[in-house]
Parts: sequence; C-alpha cells; structure tokens
Amino acid sequence: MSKAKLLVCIIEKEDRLEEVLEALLEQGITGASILDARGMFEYMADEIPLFAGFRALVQGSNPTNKIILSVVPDKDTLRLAMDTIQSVYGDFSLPNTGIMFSLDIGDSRGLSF
Amino acid sequence: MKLDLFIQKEHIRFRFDAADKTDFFKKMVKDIVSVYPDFEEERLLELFYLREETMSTGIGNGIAIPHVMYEKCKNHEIFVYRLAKAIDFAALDKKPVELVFAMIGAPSPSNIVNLQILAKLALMMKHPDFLDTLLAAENRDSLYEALIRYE
Repeated sequence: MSKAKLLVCIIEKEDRLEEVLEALLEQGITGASILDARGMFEYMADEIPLFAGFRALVQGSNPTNKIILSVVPDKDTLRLAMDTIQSVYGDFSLPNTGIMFSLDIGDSRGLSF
Repeated sequence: MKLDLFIQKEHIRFRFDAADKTDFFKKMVKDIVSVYPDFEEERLLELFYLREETMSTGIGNGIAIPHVMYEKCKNHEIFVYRLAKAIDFAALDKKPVELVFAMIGAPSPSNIVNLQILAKLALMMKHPDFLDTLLAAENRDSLYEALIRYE
C-alpha cells in the first residue's frame, strides 16, 4: 500500500476557502481539488418539494459547502495539512463548521510521489 | 422505521367528504381538534395553509402529505384521510388527490423524527404496487393493515 493519504476537508464557511488554500500553499501543499457541495438538508429543502417546509431549519447555514480533496505523500504531510487548515479555519468541533478526515490510498495512477 | 408507532387505526378516516382543498383543510383540522381538544383550530389551520403556500404537499399519484410542527403537539401524529371524491390539491403532477396523510409533529431542535416520518411516507408512496393496495383498500381496516405491514 502507498504511504500517500487522501485528505478530505468539507468547509461550510466557504468565504474562508481562499485563506485555507493560501495557507496550504505556503506550507508547500500544492495539489488539491476543490468541489462545490450542498449539505443533505439544504439539498432536500431546495430540491424535493415535500421537504420545502423545512427550509427554515437550515436558515443561517451556508447554502453551499466546499470540499477540498488533496492527496499528500505521507502521514507527516497529512498532519501538517490538517494543522494548517485548522490554524486558519478554526475549530471543526463547533457546529456548522465542517469536517476533516483522511483515508489511506491503495493502488493509484498519476500520482507523482 | 415502521409507521405503526405513529399511525392509529382510530385516526384513519374513510370516505372523507371535501368539496375542494380549502374545504378539506377546514374539515381535517376540525376533525383533528375533535380528537385533541387542546389543539387550537385556527392556529392549526394557519400552519397548514402556511405550509401549502410554500409549495403544495400533493406529491403526486393521488397522494398528499401535509405536515406541520405544532407547539402543542407532544408526539408525532398522523391522520389518514381516504377521500370520498378526489380533489384538486395543486399537486406536482396535477393529478387530483385521493389519499391524504396529515402529519403534526412535535417541534424539536433538529426535527429529525418529523423528517424521518416524512421520508418514510414519501418512500412508501414511490412503490406502485403498494400505492395500488392503499388506493384499493375498501375500508379502514384494510387500509390500516396495509400501512402497518409495510416495512
């Protein structure tokens, strides 16, 4: 198995994305994909008519989230990336902030490390 | 989740008469208040109307699932109305509505149980065979049996 790790970071405060990416770049983490996403409740309230009445439940939360996917070469770089994100974004244990986790990488193609 | 926790046979109305959607809601709320006298008829009606203003709860195929959170409701109540005559409900598929599941939920911070019940009902109504069984039920007992048998 590769030593590489996949970092998955979902941030709800998307106005902080720029700062997060700049901080990662500053630390030498240069590869990441950014995806637009919507939370389950936001999606259901907006797209499934039966649940439209629950729109008020998700008022105040951002209508869209951002997902950062980054493959890093090893666990030390992963730790650096997570610490860096948390240092600029804030505490993920607070409500309506987001989540961050990692996955081991198995077989891969196209990775340069 | 099985619905037998929330559906009581005594809360199923068969051949319920309503001239139109407005008439239905008025009669439905009156009926619910007759079961729960501490519920306020006007407030409940207002809540159901407000929800319908957001978007019709007529989900299609002759089914409507109007639902509200009501501060005086302590549990999650479902009343079932098999209409004597199908009525226009401004449903998404424009088909008249024959069967109504009215849900009154107890407000909670996440409303998770209310959402679970709604999702369960919506999923149930996506099965054509089950829907046929419900609409073909000839009395309250068979409608109830069909509903609680569904896994």
